[in-house]
Amino acid sequence: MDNIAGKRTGLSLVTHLATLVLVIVWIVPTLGLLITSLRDQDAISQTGWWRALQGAPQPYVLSIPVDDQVQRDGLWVLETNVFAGPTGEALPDDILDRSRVDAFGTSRLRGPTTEPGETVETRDGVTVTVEANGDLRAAAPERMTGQLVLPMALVAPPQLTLDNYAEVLTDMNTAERQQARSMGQQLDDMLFSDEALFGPFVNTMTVAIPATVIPIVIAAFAAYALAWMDFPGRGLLIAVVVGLLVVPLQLAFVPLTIIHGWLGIGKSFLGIWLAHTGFGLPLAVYLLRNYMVGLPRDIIENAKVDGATDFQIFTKIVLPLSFPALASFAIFQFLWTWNDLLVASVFLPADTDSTVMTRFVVTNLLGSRGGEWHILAAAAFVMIAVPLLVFFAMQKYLVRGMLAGSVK
Amino acid sequence: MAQLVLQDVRKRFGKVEVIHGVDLEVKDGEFVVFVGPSGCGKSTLLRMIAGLEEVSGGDVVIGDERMNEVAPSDRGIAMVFQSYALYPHKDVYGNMAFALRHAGEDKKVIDERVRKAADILGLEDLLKRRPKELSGGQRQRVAIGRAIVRDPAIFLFDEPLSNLDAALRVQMRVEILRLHQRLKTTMVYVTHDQVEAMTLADRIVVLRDGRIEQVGTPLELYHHPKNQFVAGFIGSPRMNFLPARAAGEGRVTAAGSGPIEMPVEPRAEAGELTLGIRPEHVEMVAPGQGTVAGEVLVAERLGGETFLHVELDGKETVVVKADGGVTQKPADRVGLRFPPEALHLFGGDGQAFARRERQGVIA
Repeated sequence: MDNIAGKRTGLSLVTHLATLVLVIVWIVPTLGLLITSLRDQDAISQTGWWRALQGAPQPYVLSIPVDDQVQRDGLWVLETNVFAGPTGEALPDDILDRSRVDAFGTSRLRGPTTEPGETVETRDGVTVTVEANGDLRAAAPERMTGQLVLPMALVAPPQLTLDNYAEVLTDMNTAERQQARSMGQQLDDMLFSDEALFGPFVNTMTVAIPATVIPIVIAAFAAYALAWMDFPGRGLLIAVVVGLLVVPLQLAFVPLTIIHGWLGIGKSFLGIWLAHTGFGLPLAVYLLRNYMVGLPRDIIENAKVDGATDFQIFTKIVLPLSFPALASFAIFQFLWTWNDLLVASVFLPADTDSTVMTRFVVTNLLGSRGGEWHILAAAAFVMIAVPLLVFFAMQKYLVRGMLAGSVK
Repeated sequence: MAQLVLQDVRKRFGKVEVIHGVDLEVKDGEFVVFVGPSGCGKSTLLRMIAGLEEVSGGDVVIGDERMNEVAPSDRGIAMVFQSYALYPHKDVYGNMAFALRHAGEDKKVIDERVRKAADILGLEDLLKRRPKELSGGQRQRVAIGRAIVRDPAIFLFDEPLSNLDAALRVQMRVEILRLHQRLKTTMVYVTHDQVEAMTLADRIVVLRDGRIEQVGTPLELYHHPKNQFVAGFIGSPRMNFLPARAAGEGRVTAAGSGPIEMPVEPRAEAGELTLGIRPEHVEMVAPGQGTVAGEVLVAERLGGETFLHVELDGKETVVVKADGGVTQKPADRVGLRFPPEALHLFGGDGQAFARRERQGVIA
């Protein structure tokens, strides 16, 4: 807010351009993934996602009855519309509705090669014109007999569907779901079947939410103490925390699994919460302490004079003012625990009841179904949807300026 | 009755002692100002009274109680910080009510006291605003209001006006004075600005390097500074100092002058002497007349008055406060008369010779 009155420099232009580029670089693939995940399996393989709104042309062979031909100016003329009448009735519903002709032809061998609006002649000497909206005009010197058989590429209107999500979350396509239903399966039976993504989705939530909340709570208390309470050994503790920042977490795997075994925690959700908490704490304490120590000393001393205890200063003053730091760490920690594969593989049991999404994708989707893009795209979007929500919910707390007006 | 007593108060940071034994008594209802150059320990001393700094030695007594180990909130003090230290996430009402809520006061009592304080300070219309929506002066008022609602025995102000612009500072100075007249509460005020000290204080405590140099009413300090430091610190522009030599029979010579009769009690003094005279006491006369003569270097014209910097023939510079309409320009020669009754004399150790006239000493 402070620089509104400031002069615009060349740098601000560069900043804006860079922001624009970053936004585009971020938006385009995300949008692509979202649209791909909403498209039909065939549509994905035929055209790119950016043509999703144009629809994909599909080949059909239309047999058009010639009963309505009339004699005019020495020629037998047939004027009709391919989407109307008995021809149209033979087409699938989604094609019939709001569709158009992308190309047509006269030979089933050569297929639809002529642009709509142009005129071609069949081997029988019939000249045919088809407009994009389906209007057809056929003219021949002799009376036409039989049927006019024309190959056409018809474009179905764009179709966006949630079927992919249903399929990946339940591991059944529409037909299979109907069959399962008729066999008496309930929705939760399908959602929690071994091959469905929904179970791993819930498991990932179960891992990520406590693994974000627990370290934040602990770290906030620790950070306040390290920033504002005077006790012997404080400097040493801070140094230890900074030192722990650079310890690779792989070092702790073997000792931690052994300790978890002794304690009877074993491989379980509790185990992975504790592991994530431990691995996240150094960064959390470090980030939060650095933020809290930057809060104006006067505010905290004033609260002391006002009679607040350390705990009240922490809850009433420091915590609300530290929200930006808490939010940014929450985002970091949530993303890391959400996307984590390594720690989950070590600390969670191998059974399907505790598989997290990362592991599910690696073992179930990438292997056997690596070519099924509609499944992969939907699964990918299920995975990024929650982090996106978290980010958009938290981003307003990331903006600076929380302290504006308190001092100076 | 003394409201606040400091007895040989000392402060050490590690091995470094920064407050070297301060003794002071502040009477009930008195407005005392700590003044001194930066780093003199005045803020540290105030924070020790507030309980925000530990006392390394000596006693801090408030009322009749030794307060060294008592928590800040239980000392019956309220403090106003230089940076206002408002809680940015609370509105004005919340800021002022914070202390009372923590004291577990009744909601009605809180409301009554907050509204009364807001009324005193003219904040009634701002109670729902956040600190960032307030101007500097309003923020300072909220900070003061926060102190008022606590109904303390002693107000502590730590350079409360330093962040305000000049015009607002003058206005807030007057408001603080009126507040003191109205509340009649003991106030201890820290500033580095001697004008603030002179205008606000009942008594001024001049500090330097962790020691009290002098305690007295503003006029006492002005007319009877105990030493050269206080003489130079109080008064603006600062007092002129000229090296002087004893000329016998209570007279001195300085800067090429003839023997000057000094209005001071004689004292055995062997070392170098310093003659002091305030710019407003120097009289300008025709060249050749008066005590000394010199050449104008610079004329600072403020309209109502003019400060002439005069280089004496002995190369010392003397600042003269003259009328706004004086015509002297740089390079003009002038004579300067030092009225004997306005002179100060300091010994080689900087200590002042006691002056005979008792002007400025009230009761």
